[in-house]
Formats: sequence, structure tokens, C-alpha cells
Amino acid sequence: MRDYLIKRAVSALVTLGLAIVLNFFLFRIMPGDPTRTVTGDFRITPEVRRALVHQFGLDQPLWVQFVLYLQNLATGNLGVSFQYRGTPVVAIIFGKRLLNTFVLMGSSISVALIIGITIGTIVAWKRESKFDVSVVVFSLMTYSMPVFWLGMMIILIFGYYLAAIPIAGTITVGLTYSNWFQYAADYLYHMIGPFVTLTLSFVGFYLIIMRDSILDVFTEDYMLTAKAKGLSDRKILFRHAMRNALLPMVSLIAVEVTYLFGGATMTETVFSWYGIGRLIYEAVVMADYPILQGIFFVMSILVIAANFCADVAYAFLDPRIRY
Amino acid sequence: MKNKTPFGIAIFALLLISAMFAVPSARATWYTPPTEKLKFPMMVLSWDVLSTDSGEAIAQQLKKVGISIEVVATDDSAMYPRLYDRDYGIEEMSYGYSAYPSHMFYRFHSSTDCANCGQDWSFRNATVDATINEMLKTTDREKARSLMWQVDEMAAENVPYVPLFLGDEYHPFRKEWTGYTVMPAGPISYLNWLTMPNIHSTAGKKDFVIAFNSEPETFSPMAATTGRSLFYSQNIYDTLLAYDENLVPIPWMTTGLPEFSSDGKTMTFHLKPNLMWHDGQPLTAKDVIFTFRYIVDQSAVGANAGEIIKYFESGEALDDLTAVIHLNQPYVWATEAFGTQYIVPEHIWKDTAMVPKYDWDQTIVESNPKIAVGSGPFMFSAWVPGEYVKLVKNPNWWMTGHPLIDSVIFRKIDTESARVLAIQKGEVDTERYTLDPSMIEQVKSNPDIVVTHAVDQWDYILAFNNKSPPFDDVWVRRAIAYAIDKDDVVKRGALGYGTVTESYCPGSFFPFWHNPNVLTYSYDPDKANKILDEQGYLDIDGDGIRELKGYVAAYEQKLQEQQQAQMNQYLTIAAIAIIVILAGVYLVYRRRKKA
Repeated sequence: MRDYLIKRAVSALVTLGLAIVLNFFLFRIMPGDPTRTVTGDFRITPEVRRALVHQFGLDQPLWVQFVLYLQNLATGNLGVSFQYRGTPVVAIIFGKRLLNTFVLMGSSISVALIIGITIGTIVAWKRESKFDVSVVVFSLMTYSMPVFWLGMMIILIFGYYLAAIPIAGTITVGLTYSNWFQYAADYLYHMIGPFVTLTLSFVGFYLIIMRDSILDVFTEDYMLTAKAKGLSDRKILFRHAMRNALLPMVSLIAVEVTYLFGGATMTETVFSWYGIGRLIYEAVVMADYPILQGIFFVMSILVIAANFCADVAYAFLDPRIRY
Repeated sequence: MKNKTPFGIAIFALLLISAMFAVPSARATWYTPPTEKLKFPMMVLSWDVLSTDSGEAIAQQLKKVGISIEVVATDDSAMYPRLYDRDYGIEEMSYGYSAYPSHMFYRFHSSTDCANCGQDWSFRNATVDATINEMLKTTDREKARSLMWQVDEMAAENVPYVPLFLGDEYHPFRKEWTGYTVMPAGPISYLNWLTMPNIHSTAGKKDFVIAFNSEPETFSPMAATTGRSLFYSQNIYDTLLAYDENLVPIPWMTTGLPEFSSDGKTMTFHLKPNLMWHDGQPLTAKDVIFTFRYIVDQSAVGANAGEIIKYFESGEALDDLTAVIHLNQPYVWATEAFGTQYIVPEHIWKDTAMVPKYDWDQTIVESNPKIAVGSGPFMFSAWVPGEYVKLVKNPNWWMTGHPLIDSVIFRKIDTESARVLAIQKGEVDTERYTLDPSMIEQVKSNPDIVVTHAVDQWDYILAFNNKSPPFDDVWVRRAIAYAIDKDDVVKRGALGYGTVTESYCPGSFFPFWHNPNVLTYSYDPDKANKILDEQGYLDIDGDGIRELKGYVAAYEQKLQEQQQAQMNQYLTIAAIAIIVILAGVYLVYRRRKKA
């Protein structure tokens, strides 16, 4: 077991090192010139633009930039943003944006998971019924719908024609709150649109995976045993079938953890939700390398850590796993 | 688990990295000048639909005069290095913001013929250089204009690039709002000083809400380099001069336009009396001088910093209202460069570094509230990152009674469709930038919204690499200029939302500087054909594409060789045929004999 842990840890560290290296080069070969995108004013002369290139350190050879990047990373410094002059990347990432993304993604993923798992189990039990067919069709529809289109339709119908939800933002402009509850209410009211969009876009995928996974379990011998023992349908379904079918869902959830940090760029943009996904989009457009490097660095740490934990957990849970 | 996987990835990554290192150091040459025909690729900017669609229209028009163009949609990461290396023959895109009079230098002067120095077309002309140099030193605006017109005329004659059109500006307002000024670049822009103090609602609304798609990057006018950030400076800070609706400088914080000494090296501004900063401190000529000195000492990058750093020598405040500025040499645009600089308060900025030091617990403005103290029509009130910025009326502003609104709110809405919905719904009164062309008709049909129309600053041009053959031949450039139907380019490239331009300074944007007598290449394909015929660019092989000048001899030789080869082929076939026939005859003869 100790050997196994050490091996996993070493390979996680190697992967992290590779991620750090790739992280740097990936964005340099990306289209876009940061000094062009941050000088969008007609009065800016080419001289000033060249001064900016110097300020950003982009006039240095690539390997010098790379060494500086590694040095900074070693001291926990993710650099300074190009577009938000003088603001450290750490402060931009770990702030309100992360909180907004975390709340939005966390709630929509968990609600989608709960709905997906329960409804998926039920339709698997009642497979080939009208309910099953309509749920599967609905799931395939929401799953294959472009999420930005879905969001825009929700804004158009519920935000504009019915005026039931706000069009943009996380709070009402100019409102002052007398207490914390008022703020939370306003915030949640603004979250309805993006929350519904994301939940709809996630739920179909979870539901269908869950349904298939249960159908697989149904063919196992122990299901027959359970039936032969005379257990009730409900017990068979939820105690025996669902628990076993949840295993693939657990690995799925481990993958989805990155969304909690990375956010959903499309949905956040459509609803002007001030989150990390939106930040990634902005940084790509503005060729703001430090921000992109910072986000992807944190994301790769999260993914690697989540995978490491999953590996370890599997080793403990499943006696068949021995390397 | 296979432990070899990470090492496999490592090797793969190493290969990838070495490839990446190789890419920027040895960029392969993209463009080879044509050797036979007038046939070449034309770069257009891939993400700009106006650029790509105009490119296609131009390619079709040039086909009619026997020039074959392949439109190559190129991303900026590839396009700019090629432009800087002059690794292209012809390109078409928008040179945003550049048709500004003071930027003429960057379009035509030889000294800007280098990588990322201004012009990308390698245009060098000694007379043009001398005229621009003389113009830059002139302080008499009429004389400067006549010199500028000369440059314009020489440029038209030499056609280093063909001006195509300016994009149009369509701005939606809720119909209860009035008092805005529609001028070049639109009713809400950093060239427009007049809208914000005068806008008001006929329905008695006092809060004006502007939908904005981006966040302020910084509130410091010394560090801001984009229109989105500088627009906040425009409202919070004040300038010595402003522009009227024809983009002619007018007194703003001053009592008149600056006075120049006879050698043109000293300019004097007289401030209006009783000017005040937002924090109640008096604004004096000392602050004005401090601002310019600060820009030079700190190498600031704000809007006019480039020109100020280049020309500012020294300055002194004669008294509280008189600021005297000494230039190191006379400069024709000194009035604009110094006049439209946002003036900052000395008592706050004297101990502040250009980029405010970051306080880890708070956002920029909150940690440095003083950084947003100006003397402009509006005062900073609140910034909720990602949501909105609120500015409130400055009750002590020099223009008594103005602004007419109590506050202006910049609300962040990310997508154009949501902004338009917010305006239709009445949550928002207007937006910061022009309407998306696809939305113009729909918004116009809404009775609650008024859509204004002005010319915008995106200057689309067709540029040649003036050093690379065949574009080093001025007649080729002229023929292409005649062969382009600009109205059709606007119609197809910009869906009709554009204004045709004929010279460096378009009359629709800077009427004062526009030369009405400049040579325009009105659409005339016959003339283009005639020029190319006369110059020896003939379509010899009849494939609809003209051959290069001097290609005739080479072509005839090739033709002769071809004929020779064909003749040889015929002879061979004939010889074989004769042999076969003879052999046949012989065989038949022998058989008969046997029989």
C-alpha cells in the first residue's frame, strides 16, 4: 500500500510539473497580441505601445520569461494582470468571482445530480414506459441544446417578455441592503436564470448515465437473488441497484469538480455573471497571459489533487484494485 | 497502473516544447511575390466580418480587370508579424482610430517604416517626409492645413494604400432622453465632451444608465490605455480644452485657446477662475504643470502621453490661473496634445506612484479612493466589480447648472443581445458602443428607442507592400484603386453601414482637415484596364489573368518550347505509325507469298 501511494504521489507531481510547463507555452502560441488589445484608444502612439511591451516584459526572450515565470511560481506569485494594470492575478482569481462561480456551479451541479440520480433510477425501473421515453427524449434535448442559446431564450422569454427574472448581473444596480438576508434574496433572485440554464444543461447527461448504469446492474446475479429473497421493489431499487450503480457516478463527480472552479464560460457570459468562466473569456480576448496561466495553474492542481484522492479512495474501497 | 505513462507524456511534452521554441525564432516566410501573373493572396483579419466580407467584394471587383486575388482570412497573431516583417503583398483591414490628423506622421513618414512603428506599407518619399517635418513645426493652423493637404495630395498620387470606408456608429437612446450631441464617433465617445454634461430626460429621470460590456481596468488616467477605461477619466477628470461637434478645439477649463510665442515653443493657458477639485481644494495652474511633469517623469502611458513625453520641456505657473508650457520644439498638434490631457491634482498625486500599490484586502479604488479625485463633471461614487460603476454630479463644476442629471451609472452587461433587451425593457437608457449591425433594423423599429447615426472611427483601408513587386509599380496601385467600387464594398462588406472615404482625413470625420481637392480614384474599371494594358500587364495566355510586365519574352520562349515539344511528339507518332504500317504491309506481303 505504501509503495502504491508513493507511486501515485510521484506521478501526480510529474504531471503537475508538466502542467506548469505547458501552461506557460500554451498561451504564448495562442492568437492575439496583448499590447494591441490593451491599447484600444486612437491617441495611443506606437511609441507608447512599445513602452508597454517593455513594461509587460514581452520584449525579453521567451526563455527569460519562462525562467521568471518559474521563479515567481516558486514564491506563490502568479504575476500581475496585463489588462487590470497593477492588480495581482491571485487577487483577481481568489475574490468575488470565485465565490460567484462556486455558488452558481455548486448549486446547479448538485441539484442536477440529485434530479439526475433519482429520476434516472426511476426511469430505469420503468424502462420503455411512456414516462421513460419522454424523460430520455427530454434529457437528450436539453443535453444537446447549445447552452448559450438556451440561456438567451430564457432571458428573452422570462427576462424580457414575462419580466420575471433579471437580464444581467448578480445584484440589483444601485440597491443598498439593510441586512444580509435582503442581499441574499436579491442575489438568489439574480441567480435563477443562470441556475436553471446550467441545471438543465447538466441534468440530461447525469440522468442518462445513471439510467444506463442501473440497467447494467439489473442484469447482475445479486439482483435476481434480491428478488428471490422476496424484497420489495423499492428496496431492490434503492438499496441494491442504486448504490452499486452510483460507482461510475462517483468518478463522474470527481471530473465535475473542476467546473466548480472553472465555471461555465457560456452561461456566465450570457447572464453577465461575474465569475471565473467569464474571466477566462475576457482574458482570452485580451490575451492576458498571466490571468490565464493563473487560472489554469490552479485548475490543474485541483484536477491532479482530485484524481489523486480518487485513486487513493478507490484503493481503499475496492479490494480488487492493487497495483 | 502503467507507471510509464508520465514518462511518455514527458517525452511528448518535451517534443512539443522544442517545437514551440522553434516556431517564434524561425518563422517561415509566408509570402512569395508573383513571378508570372497578377495573382496573389490578400490578408484580411479573420475575426472581423467587415474585413473578410470587404475582401471578398474587392477580389470579385479586381477579377474584372484581370487581377486574381485569393482572400486569406488571417488571425492577428499571424497577421501582425507578417505586416511588421513586410511579409505580404496586399492586405485589407481596419486601422482603428488612426485617421486622426496628428497620426499622419505614422502613416506616411519614412521614419515610421519599421516593425510596429506605424505604417506597415514601406512607403518612403522624400518630399512627403520634408512636408510632414515642416508641418509638424508649424503653429499656424491654416498653414499646417495647407501642408497637410499637400501630403494628402502626394499620398493620393502615390497610393501607398487605398482608403475604403469608415464604419458607421448607430446609438440607441430611450426616447425620453435628449440633449446629446451627435458627432463623429457617436454621441457617447471619448471625443465627445458635450453629451454627458447636457443630456437630460424629458420624463424627469435623474439617473442615466449606460450599458457597458467591460469593466474599468484602472481609474488612473496615467495608466489607462483603452477607450473603456479612459471614458471614466473623461467624466471624472477635466481637460484644458475640448472638441466641438466638428472636432475643432474649444476652451473648456480655460478662458480661451492657448497663446503661442512667435517661435512656437511656448504656449500659455489661462484657466477659468474658481476651479475646484472634487475634494474641495482649489485647482490652480500648478496642478496643470504638475500633470505634464508627472507624465514625463513617470513615463506614463495614458492617452496623450506619447506626444507629451516627446515635446514637453518645462513648465511654470505664473500665477494661479496662468500655466506656461515650454516645448523642446514647436509642435503643430500641441494644442490638442496638451489641451485634451486629463489634469490630475498635485496634492494627491505627488506621493502616488503611477500604478497604485495594491491593497490585498480591497479593490483598487477602495484602497486608493484618492486616485479617483478629479475636477470633471462627475464624481466617483461607487464601483461594485462586475456589476456597475456609479458617478454622481459634481455640484461645483465650472459650467454652472450642469450636468443636468444627478448620476450616471455604467452597468455591466456582457452580451449585445442582453444590452438591447435591457434598453427595450427600459432598465438601461443607452449603451456605450455602437449597435451591432445585425440589430440596427430591429432596434430602429421600436417606438420607444431613438437610434442616432454618425460616422465611426474604424478606418478600413487596402494596403500594399510598396516595396514588393508588382506593387512597387505605382501604376499597378493606381489601377487597383480605379478598379475598386467602394460603394459596393460598403454594401457587401459592411451591410451598407459605412461611409466611403477618399483621403487620409475624411471630410465626414475631420471636416477642418479634409482636403476636398484631393485626387479620388472614382470607380472606373475601363480606366484600370487601360492603365494595365498601357503598362504592359497583358493577358497573353487568355486565361483572364494578366501576366506580369516583361513576362512577354519569357512567355514567347516558353510557347516556342512548347510548340517544339509538340512537334517532336507528332514526329515520333508519325514515325511509329510509318513503321507499324510498313511492318503490316511486309507481313501481309509474306503471307501472300507463302500462300
